[in-house]
Amino acid sequence: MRLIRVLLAACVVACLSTCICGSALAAQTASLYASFSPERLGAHATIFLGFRISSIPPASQSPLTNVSVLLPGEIGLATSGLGLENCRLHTLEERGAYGCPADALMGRGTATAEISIGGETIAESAQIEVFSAPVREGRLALWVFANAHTPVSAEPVFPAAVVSAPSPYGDAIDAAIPLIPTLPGAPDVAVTRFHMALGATARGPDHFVYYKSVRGRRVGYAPKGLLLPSACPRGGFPFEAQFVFQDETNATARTTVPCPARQPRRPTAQSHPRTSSSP
Amino acid sequence: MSWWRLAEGAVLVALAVALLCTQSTGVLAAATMARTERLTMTAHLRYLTAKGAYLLEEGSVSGPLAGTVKAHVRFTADISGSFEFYPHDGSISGYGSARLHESGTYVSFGGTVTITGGTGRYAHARGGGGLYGVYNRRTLGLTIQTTGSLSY
Repeated sequence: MRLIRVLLAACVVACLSTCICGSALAAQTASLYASFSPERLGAHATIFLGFRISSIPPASQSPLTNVSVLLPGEIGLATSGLGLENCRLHTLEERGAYGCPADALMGRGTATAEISIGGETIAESAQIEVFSAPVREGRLALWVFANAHTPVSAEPVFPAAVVSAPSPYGDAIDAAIPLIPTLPGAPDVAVTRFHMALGATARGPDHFVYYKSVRGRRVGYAPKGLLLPSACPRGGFPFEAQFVFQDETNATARTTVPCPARQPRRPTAQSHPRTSSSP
Repeated sequence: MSWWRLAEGAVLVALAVALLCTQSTGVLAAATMARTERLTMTAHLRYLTAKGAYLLEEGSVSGPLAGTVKAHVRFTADISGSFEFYPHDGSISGYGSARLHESGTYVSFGGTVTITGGTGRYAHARGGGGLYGVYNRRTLGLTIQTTGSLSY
């Protein structure tokens, strides 16, 4: 009888430890980074944002279904000069990014996803473009257009909205990410890395121009980007990203862009912020 | 005789007190009589400076009460802000909030405005109403029209 009790207790402990360890292994962790270019207080800047999602064991990540990026309270989209026109959903779906007005583009980037095919995990990259969209439910809205080719060809468009975030943050960009199926029976695409420039860069793949009319002529110009305050907030500029996954787990990552040094810097200089993450 | 004088004095005092009371209640009545007007005014604001999502703008107001205005506007997921309006003989302060209607180069919005106080002739200003506005994202200027009531 005592032996049976001991065996039962051992079974219960074994089951509990399996459950606990199982859920711990399934948890995703995330890291976030951010930087400005140029790093100059009182100037308009392009914001570089990126995140990375890891899982243990590797390649077991649950697909990302929602991400919110909280921007520092001292930075506002309203004065950025980005998104002076809107792109319509049917235009994006029918003609892709080329169908949208040039002045609707707000940023470019790349996303990397893991795709499990035949027991093998393959990484696929997609070009990301963010466009201004017509107001939805009284909020500034965006379209995120992803363009991926191999091994899974997809051009998903998913909505994002600018919402208010609590202090010390101001605006938050909240995006609902659709599930992208791969093969029948295989897991959906899971985004593991994301990088984008909010605003235009001086050169390179993230460079773009807007147009305005000057004396009847259409003239290209670089949009201003987001206005940095003239004084740095104490402790730097805080950023936060909140992630929700298909398995209903979530993760939060934070980072801070340090205050720029007082002496003038080269316009292309970028910071090396510290990053942190929590499951 | 002394009784008559005493009675006359008492009557005079009573009359004086009655007169004073009447005058003071008249003054009080005049002080509590608020003037209420229904107004439609339009403000044209130009961009001065910004700190993040906060814009500082100033400009002119046209309508029954013309003057200058300064406004702090927070432009995020929705729009909110406070203002100080300087018509002739005082100032009127208040706040407003609005939701976006359209975005693009011209961002339109609608909401409400509340008047919370003032100075000078408008020291007891109270009121409120609706507002409708357009924000020009190229010039960062604002045009706001308000319709409502003002008591002062």
